[in-house]
Amino acid sequence: MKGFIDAIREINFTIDSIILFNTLLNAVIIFLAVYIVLLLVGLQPLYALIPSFLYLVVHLYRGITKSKAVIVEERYDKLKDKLRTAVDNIQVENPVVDSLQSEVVSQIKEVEVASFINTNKLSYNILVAVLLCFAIIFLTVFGIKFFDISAVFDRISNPFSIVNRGGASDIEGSIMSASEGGSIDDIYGEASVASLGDQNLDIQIKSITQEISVRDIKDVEPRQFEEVFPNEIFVESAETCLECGYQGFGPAEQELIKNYFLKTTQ
Amino acid sequence: MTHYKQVFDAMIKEVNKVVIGQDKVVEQIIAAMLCDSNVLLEGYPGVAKTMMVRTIAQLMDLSFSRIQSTPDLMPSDVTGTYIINESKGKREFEFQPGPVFANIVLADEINRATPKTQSALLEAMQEKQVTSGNTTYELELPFFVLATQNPIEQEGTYPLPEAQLDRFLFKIKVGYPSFDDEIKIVDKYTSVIREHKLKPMFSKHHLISLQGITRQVPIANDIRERAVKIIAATRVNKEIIQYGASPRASINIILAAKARALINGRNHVTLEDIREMAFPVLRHRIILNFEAERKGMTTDDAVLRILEHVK
Repeated sequence: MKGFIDAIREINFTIDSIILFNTLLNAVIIFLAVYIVLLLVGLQPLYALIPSFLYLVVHLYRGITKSKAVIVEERYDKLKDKLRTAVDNIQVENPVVDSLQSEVVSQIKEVEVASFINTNKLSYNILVAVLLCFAIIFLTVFGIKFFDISAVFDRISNPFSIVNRGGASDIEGSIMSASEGGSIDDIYGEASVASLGDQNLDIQIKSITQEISVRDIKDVEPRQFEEVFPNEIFVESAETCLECGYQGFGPAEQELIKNYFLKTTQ
Repeated sequence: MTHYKQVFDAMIKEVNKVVIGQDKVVEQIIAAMLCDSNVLLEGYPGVAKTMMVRTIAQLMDLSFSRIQSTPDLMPSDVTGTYIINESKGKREFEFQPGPVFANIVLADEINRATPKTQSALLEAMQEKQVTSGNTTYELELPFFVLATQNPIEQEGTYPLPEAQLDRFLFKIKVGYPSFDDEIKIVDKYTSVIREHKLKPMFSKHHLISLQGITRQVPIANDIRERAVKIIAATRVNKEIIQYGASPRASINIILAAKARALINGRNHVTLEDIREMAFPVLRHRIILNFEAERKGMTTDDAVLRILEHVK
């Protein structure tokens, strides 16, 4: 009987291991597939953990609670009905049950672990997982995206954003409010435009090429503005505020600066 | 366990020398004996019911008696009675055992006996004892009653009530032999007058130990549940069945399946055993409703339908 119990334990452990491995592999594939989908629609890709975790839990529970004797009997006709009967009567001690257990132990030796592994399906799953990984790398490097759901959500949640594309009256209204005593910082646009998630994006704007390099993140260096300014600025500043200099901005300058920030967000 | 199969195969082969073409019936009678229970044989006259039982009794070295039931048969004719014995000038009552005091009792045409006589026999079946007057006499074990019924000539009979039919493990239908078998029977019994002397294959003590081994045969949980579901289905299927089988049928079907497994040399019960034993176990335990009878359905048809529906 001890030999029989050991054999049953070994079978249970082996089959449970196979079920765990298969379920994990399938969960990884689900994770990768959902990750790609979320990446393409602009949502947080790590949310893919949720469905893959749910799948893992549900299928693992189902697999482990299924009778291992039934799984073995499905593949080995010789053990049909015998293994199940012997397992169900494992606590019974009589000559007939003993002979059944001995018979089952001798026939279990013919059971091969490889018979429970579908190598074709396993190879296919591994291949799919590898391809999905490459797809994720490809999409990330080239920044491919179908549409950005998060931006849609942002617009829905902030309908009165100062950065929105309203008509000219909106611009005038905001300029008027700024000129009527609003903070001069308002003309620089929404601070969230220059932030990525919770992290403020400190970028260096190359004035010549007008390119934004994500990789070159460093502290903003103070620059001496010695470039030639447009004539309109000198003209207007001469006409409207000779004493302001660069400390104060007239409405026209404010409009200019606001247009600048608006165009950078487009 | 294969040894048991060889023994029972040899026994059936020996019976086949006397009774041809009834192997399945013989197997079911042996199964009933392994279950330590009784059998109701239903068959037309002349299909070797009596000869079959007598032959099995010889092979198992069991004492055999036959009771021919008639309407005037009294209970004391079955159980025994007190007679006055005169010896040495003294007269005293002495109990004279009746034909029930045998290992195998064949009650022919039990439905012809009066209910009172039937009940005397049925008490012996159930309790394995006989009460005469104020004294109870134990019957020698093993004890089996094989009762027979004629499916025709039902006039003037006293059909066994359902409560008493339930006490029989099996109701076995003894049919006619096939054409080839009948040719062999004709050849055997028209050529010479033979007396079939069969050697016992095992003793009554072996039979008693085999009865214990039968109950030790293990059964899987799902097969056990399927068997009980089959019996329970007879109680809920009101389309064709008016009255279903009792929990005694659940016990009997599993016991019979274990006996069949042992006869076939297996140390476990299979679903096939349950399906095969469902017919003799349920045949006499379910009562069809009027609609089913109107359609000409038999109890076997009802059992088959239940087996198909229960998963």
